[in-house]
Amino acid sequence: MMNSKQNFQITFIGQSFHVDVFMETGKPVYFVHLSGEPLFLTQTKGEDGKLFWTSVPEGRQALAAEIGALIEKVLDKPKVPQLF
Amino acid sequence: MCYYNGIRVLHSEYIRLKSLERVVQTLRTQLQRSIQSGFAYADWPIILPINKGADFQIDFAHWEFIAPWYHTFNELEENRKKFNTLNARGESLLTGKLFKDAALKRRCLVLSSGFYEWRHFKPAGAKKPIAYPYYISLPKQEYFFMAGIYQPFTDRETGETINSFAIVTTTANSLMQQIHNTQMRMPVILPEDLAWDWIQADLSPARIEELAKYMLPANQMQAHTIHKDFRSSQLPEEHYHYAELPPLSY
Repeated sequence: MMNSKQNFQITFIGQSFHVDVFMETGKPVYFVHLSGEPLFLTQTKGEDGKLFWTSVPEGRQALAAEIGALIEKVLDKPKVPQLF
Repeated sequence: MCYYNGIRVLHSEYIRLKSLERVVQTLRTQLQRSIQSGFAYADWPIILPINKGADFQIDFAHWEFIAPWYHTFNELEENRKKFNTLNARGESLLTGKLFKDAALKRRCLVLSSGFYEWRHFKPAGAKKPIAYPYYISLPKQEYFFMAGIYQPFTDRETGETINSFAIVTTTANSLMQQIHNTQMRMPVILPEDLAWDWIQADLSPARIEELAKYMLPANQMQAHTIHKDFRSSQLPEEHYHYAELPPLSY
């Protein structure tokens, strides 16, 4: 069961989208409320040891990389996302 | 070494991501359906016991208990206006003809992250009470369980077979009395240990009756007003303030 919800907004192609954050298997999973098909994404470690963003399930890698970068910018800001 | 989304990942990460897929797959439909009116008669995720309650599976079922005497969906739709079977009163679950068999043999859990209810209040100057929508949830709980009963149904013309279900309701607690102040009812929301009990096959009728009337204490729930157009909102659960509405007392 997912838990530990936080949320924030990102701006993607000129529009603001809501992002929910869940802790699952000890790591955050991001649920982006895109207006069409919503996107779940998380960060994982590649063979080279570097972190990368991936969609869950597979199949939307390019979008996950693009939106993941936007999420990183929000998370890097020195503020605490709104806690429920 | 395995590939995930075309990128090589460690085996342990692959297992985590595949495990995560299952969680996402199970929950995404519900997350996308944060607003679901029962009157849409759509499918909804429910937890069904298997192996006499030793384990469970998540399935999608039609929210509207379909009485066993119906033969086709057309017949159901023609008779729908006569009575509403979205909910089943917990107090009479074992005494009424319609729900008794399901209550004894086919109990399930309905997954929910929150629900909507209307509070009727007459502001100064208004001619009649106005309905204000509320979003009700459980603090620090992403999901919770409502008691349900289910009934398989096969359309005898098309052969289509589905599960249908009703949410069991009980007397409103002190919080819900203030919100659902016309009906004074609320869903039976079961804490995890009672939810597990509810889907056990060997439950006695006395215990079924007891759980079917369970009233979650008001201090374990939270509620806030939302916009009247919440059904068409991207953020339906977002708080909306109505200055004329007195606050709820907890």
